[in-house]
Amino acid sequence: MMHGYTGKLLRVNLSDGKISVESLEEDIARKYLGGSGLAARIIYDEVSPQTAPFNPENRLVFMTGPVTGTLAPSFGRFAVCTRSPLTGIWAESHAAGFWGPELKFAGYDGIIIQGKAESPVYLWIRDGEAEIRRAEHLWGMDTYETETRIRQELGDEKVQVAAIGDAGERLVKFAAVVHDKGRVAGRCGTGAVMGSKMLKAVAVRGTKLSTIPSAREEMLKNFLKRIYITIRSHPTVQIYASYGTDGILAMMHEYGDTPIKYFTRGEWAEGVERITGETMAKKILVRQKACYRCPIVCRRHVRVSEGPYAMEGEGPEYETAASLGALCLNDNLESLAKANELCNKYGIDTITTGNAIAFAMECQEKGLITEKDTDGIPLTWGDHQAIIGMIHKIGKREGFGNLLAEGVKRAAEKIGRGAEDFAVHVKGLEIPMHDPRAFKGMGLQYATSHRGGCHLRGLVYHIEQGERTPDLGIHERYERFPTEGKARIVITMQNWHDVLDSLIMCKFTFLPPASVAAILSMVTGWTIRLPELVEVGERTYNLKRAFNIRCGTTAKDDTLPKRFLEEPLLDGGCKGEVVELDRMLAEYYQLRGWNENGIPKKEKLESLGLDDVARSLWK
Amino acid sequence: MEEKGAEEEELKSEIIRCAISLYQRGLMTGIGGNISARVEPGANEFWITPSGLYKPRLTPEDLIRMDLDGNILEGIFKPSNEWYFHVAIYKRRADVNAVIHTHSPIATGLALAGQTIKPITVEATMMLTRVPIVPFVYPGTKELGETVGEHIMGNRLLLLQNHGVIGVGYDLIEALSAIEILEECATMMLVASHFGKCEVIPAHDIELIKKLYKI
Repeated sequence: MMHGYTGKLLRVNLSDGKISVESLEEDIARKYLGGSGLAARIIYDEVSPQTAPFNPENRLVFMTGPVTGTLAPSFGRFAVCTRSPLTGIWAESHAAGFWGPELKFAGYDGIIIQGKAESPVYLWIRDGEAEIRRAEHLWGMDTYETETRIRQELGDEKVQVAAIGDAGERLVKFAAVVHDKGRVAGRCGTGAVMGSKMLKAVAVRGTKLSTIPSAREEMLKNFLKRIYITIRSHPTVQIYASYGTDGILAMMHEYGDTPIKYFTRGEWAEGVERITGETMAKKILVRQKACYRCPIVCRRHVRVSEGPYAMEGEGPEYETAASLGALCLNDNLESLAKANELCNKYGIDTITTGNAIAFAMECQEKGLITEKDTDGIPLTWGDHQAIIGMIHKIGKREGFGNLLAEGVKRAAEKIGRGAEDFAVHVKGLEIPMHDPRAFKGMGLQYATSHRGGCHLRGLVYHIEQGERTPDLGIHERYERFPTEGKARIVITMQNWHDVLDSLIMCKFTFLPPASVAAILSMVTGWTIRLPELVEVGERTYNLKRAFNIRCGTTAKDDTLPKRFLEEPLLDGGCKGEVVELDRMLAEYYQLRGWNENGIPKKEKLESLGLDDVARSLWK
Repeated sequence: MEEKGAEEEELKSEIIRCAISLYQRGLMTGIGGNISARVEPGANEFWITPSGLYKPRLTPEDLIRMDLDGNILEGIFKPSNEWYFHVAIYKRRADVNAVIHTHSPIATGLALAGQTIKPITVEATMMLTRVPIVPFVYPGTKELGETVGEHIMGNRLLLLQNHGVIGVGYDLIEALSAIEILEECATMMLVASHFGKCEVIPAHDIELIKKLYKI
């Protein structure tokens, strides 16, 4: 018997209503661990390049990891993986909260969903039993209401729900899967794929277990008693605990990292000051909240008592405060709290939403669109009422919102007249709130990330802020602007983050990698040392790359928006800088074992135990 | 349920062990300083040491169980006079489950001289980051509670002018370690200042911390 895992995967075919249980074999588990790594193996095997994202044959995989639901802290996450309708390539999005552990308590490591229901349904899993239930009465509800209603009708407040809102139903290309009224698997449009399958929600409950037993349970318990201090000694943790992730806003602005006015300004101290985590704590914070077994407690519960933006619930994260705030020159904190709530309720990714609105503001400023195009909404910089109005339009795919609901890349193509030149995305995924001109390694990371413009597949800016990770061979102190040596650290961190996404572990828990290997060993009973773990990360990274190559990605796609390559900012912490991508990219391919076209070489794939993938790429 | 009871008894014993250990190392006096810990992570109730009872002789049954409204739920003794700031911290910091207040002599002495803790070792820099000096407020008052509550955001340690030190953590080990490292660092600074200078780690090597904590 495998420890950590339940050893079972649920397969649900929504077309014919057939539900089956499959075994997760130990050799596969050890090779891909779980999370997005294991999901990648399944999707690579089952989704052909001809299968369009909204084709019923596309798979939607919900996956946990071997440590999910055990005693170990900050592992209570789940991944949602598919082929992205936004980018057409690999999609993974992750969320925390309590859903992942509950799925394991209910008896499954993951769920593979295929087909398409004829009418709206939701999936209900309780103690190993799964049932497809009608959801016509839920269709049209927002994600918060859906969660409440499902709990009511199942008569159990402990049911955990992952749901889509209006946006997922209407196939907004960046629709998200929302859980716990504020934990969001946000990026790449996984919620739209869920909507295309007419699947409103997945509700889970396990009443027989409250933790997943580990192989060396007592050893793990004793270890954990002594490890919290290590987790909490990372300097950002005290800040996240007190001020949430938005507690880093002022610092990131100082670096010139926080994008302002759609990546065109480097300095906006007076505005930033009004939307920091500190300001949030003073003005609207009610209390902090924690996800499953998390000692960091970075979630915010906020309240805006009166006015047009009155709300109470989950507060904005850094990415949200920056994308719907600084990126749009919006310094109205209350409007950000409301915007965040609306995005969560509609079920849309706040990063892409902020990007889409800021892009439209620049289009209007340049005269490419007028108020006539935007349904009378004046998309001028800093207009928070307009931002709120446009979120409604995107969520409902109404008017101009219908165009922005396609994402920035497609919107720019449609608007034309040079709009593509300043559209900021990589492979169709909009750039998160870290400007690569402030941290050059981030530029390389964005250009090569398997889901497009993504900060979480490496978080290389941490290394470029001077952090060392000796366990992974990063002993030197790296400066942020030089490009020398960046290819190696980007690869190292990308591989390691793929490990974290397979386990699945929260990235705010900066545990030394060797300690992560120790936790996995105690949970599973395997003796798994760091080199083996790192190889898993390299394997899954290459597997996802191979999936993308099959979907048509080429070296030409491994690039950055023109704005980062050619247009330096005139002020702020990265004044005068552009990303010298070519220098880093050639070295990156070489160190990765990819050819000049960015395709993993046959021998590289074989060395990672991906012989079948090598055969399919190198026919 | 049984297991939960055992865990709580173990927690109470750990509070006592911490108190004795701090007393033995001269960081607490017999009647100075106090310790509390939430009954479980995130709970609205906590165990706290009693007021005025000699630390080396404390036993688990001397502890008092309180809630965040200041009500006494279990125990027969008077809780530490400083329960106001323990409550203030728990109310502000959901991530904090343990609070330790000591009269660490060297750290408190440096604060009396207006000396803030400097980044002199990497361990100190990571653990202590920023240790603000809180202006004097009369001990045992609600006002001190409110002042501490205002200062604890973003900090793991506070130096109370003319009073002592507060360390907080997710668990007792973290709070205890913070107190230990603060005193170690303060001692090193004291030695250095005796010889007239105190070198710090180059700013460049602790850039993240300096920018994040504005130190």
